[in-house]
Amino acid sequence: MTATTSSPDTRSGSSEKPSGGAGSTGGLHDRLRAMSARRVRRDLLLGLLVLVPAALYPLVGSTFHLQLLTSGLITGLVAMSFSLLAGFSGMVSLAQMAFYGMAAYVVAIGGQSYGLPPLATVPLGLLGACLLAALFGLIAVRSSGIYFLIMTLALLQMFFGVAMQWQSVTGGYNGISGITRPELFGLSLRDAVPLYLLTLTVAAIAYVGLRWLLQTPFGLTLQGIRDRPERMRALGFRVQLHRWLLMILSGLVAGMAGILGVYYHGVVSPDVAGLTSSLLPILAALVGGVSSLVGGLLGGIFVTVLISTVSFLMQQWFDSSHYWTVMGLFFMAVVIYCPNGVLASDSRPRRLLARALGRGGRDGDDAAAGR
Amino acid sequence: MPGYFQFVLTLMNGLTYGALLFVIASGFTLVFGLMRVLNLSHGAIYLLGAYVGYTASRTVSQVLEQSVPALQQAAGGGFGWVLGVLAAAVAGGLVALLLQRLIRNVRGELSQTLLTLGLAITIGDLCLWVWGGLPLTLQAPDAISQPVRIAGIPYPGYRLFVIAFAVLTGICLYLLLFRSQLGRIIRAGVDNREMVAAVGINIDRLFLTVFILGGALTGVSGAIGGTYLAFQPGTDFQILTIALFVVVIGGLGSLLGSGVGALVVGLIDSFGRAYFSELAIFLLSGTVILVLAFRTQGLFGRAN
Repeated sequence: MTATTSSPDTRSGSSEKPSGGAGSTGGLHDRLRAMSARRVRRDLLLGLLVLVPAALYPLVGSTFHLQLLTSGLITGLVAMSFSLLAGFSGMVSLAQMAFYGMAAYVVAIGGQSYGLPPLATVPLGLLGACLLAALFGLIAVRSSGIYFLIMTLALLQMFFGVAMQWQSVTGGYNGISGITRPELFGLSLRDAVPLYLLTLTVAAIAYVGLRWLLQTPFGLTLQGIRDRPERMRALGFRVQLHRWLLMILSGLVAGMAGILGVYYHGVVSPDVAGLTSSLLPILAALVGGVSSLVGGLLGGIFVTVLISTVSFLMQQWFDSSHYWTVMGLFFMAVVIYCPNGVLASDSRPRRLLARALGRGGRDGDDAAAGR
Repeated sequence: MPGYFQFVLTLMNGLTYGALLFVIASGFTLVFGLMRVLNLSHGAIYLLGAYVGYTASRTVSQVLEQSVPALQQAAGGGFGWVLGVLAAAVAGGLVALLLQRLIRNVRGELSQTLLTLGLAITIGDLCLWVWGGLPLTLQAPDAISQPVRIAGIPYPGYRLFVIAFAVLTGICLYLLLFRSQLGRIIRAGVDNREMVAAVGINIDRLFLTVFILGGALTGVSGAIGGTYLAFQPGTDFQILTIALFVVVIGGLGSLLGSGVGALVVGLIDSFGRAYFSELAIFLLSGTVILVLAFRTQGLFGRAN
């Protein structure tokens, strides 16, 4: 299909947009754009249906649940930055928590060691996360697939090592603690409600912004690169540049989460870039489905609630604080049974549910035959 | 003379650490070369090997002490240690077997790699649950822990044993991969899996064997490394990190590369810690970044 539309390239290219690489695909591009614009409108409506109750939730919810939701949204933001790379450009990055950590450390160090106000440290933190992502990106975007994953893991571990061993700046193993939450519009973020509302706002803005971006020519190009990198390169798109820019963008989103996270927890330590911390947002993204941004946010909330529940039950039943054992098993189960998200059509839980409800029995048979 | 003393000691420590890293990284790179799966539970298998080796060697030593003290004394504590290392090999092999069974259910290298991340978290947390959070070490047998004088400086004999063990492992792996029929089949399988299967070789069973071998080697390296480097929760991530640095520098899937990479990383780490203290990590990270920037596939890796 693409071949036929791109062959009259010379004819349409001269009459319409002579310079733009995206304009040369003509009709297909417009159709794709209309399609994703429709989808964006639908999703924004759905988003509003979620956002309004979420914003009103503090009226009825307890402080504990608000904190859980805040923490879940922060994880969700990182998950969204993971999905942005994995779902929309095919780059599975393990380094997202390094960008989170970078922003968190900059805010913590700027505030605690240099006494800078949040007005200065927050932009600096975001800048730090973007710069780190730009640096990592320079190295990592040249490889793809499993090699990209390896590069990002190596870079994550470097960040961890530096945070651990550069004691005079980062505080080493213990990290930096005692970070106080600032005030915003006269409301102290020390209270659970304003911090929750701020987190919700940031998450919503990030989501809408990314959704908008993904239906621009830039976003469509990225998805083209994900599906057919060689063809996109042959068409004249600068594949590595696009990947690099997306990497910086995902660093920005993870950095936002890092700043919210450091204010939420009040501490930052090398653990933020450890394996367990890095597993959480990936788990959230997988549960929600990596091809969906909102899935990452919802997945973040789900995973946070799950951890809270599992740790409570482990305490009750086994008198043990080792909930990571269970979370690791759960992670493996997600990878095996629903790699495209719990709600995806090939998800085992969804199929089992459909069969139990007496519908979609044929679906189950098809899938069994397909395996 | 303290400058000279420190230099030789640092050099020897770097070589010893490099030797251990080679054993750790060779299993890692072998499995990657075959399955294209980055085993993120590699560090966890190392840690499990160390813990299992610790418990097995202590238990055996205690039992021998009570029942046949003469045997325990004759072997200089070596009996328990050897059994500990064997137990670590079994533990590592079993985890690899389990991992392979799990991986079969998942399609795609990326998902398979993520699966190993889940296993790493579970094993790490289970170890913390069973053995607690204190740093431990295995008791080295007297027979191989006497100090040896090198360039006029006494050096722990056990560390020389580690070097000897690494050299032996390297030779065995070389012979297995490049001088045996099995190795020829394995290398053919890496290049063209379908073709090897088509000529009637059970490639799945072959790869399972290599996978288990890699796991057992990792378990052993845990027990051997855990005899001179203390291990604790968090060691798993450290070992995974350093193994990854080694193979990234040396080139993924290359045995020679992991040898060279291990020496480079071992020496940089040792000299960095001795002479630059907290900036050592920048030295190591800087090397990795430089190699990646100019040679993405590592020093001895094949271009992907």
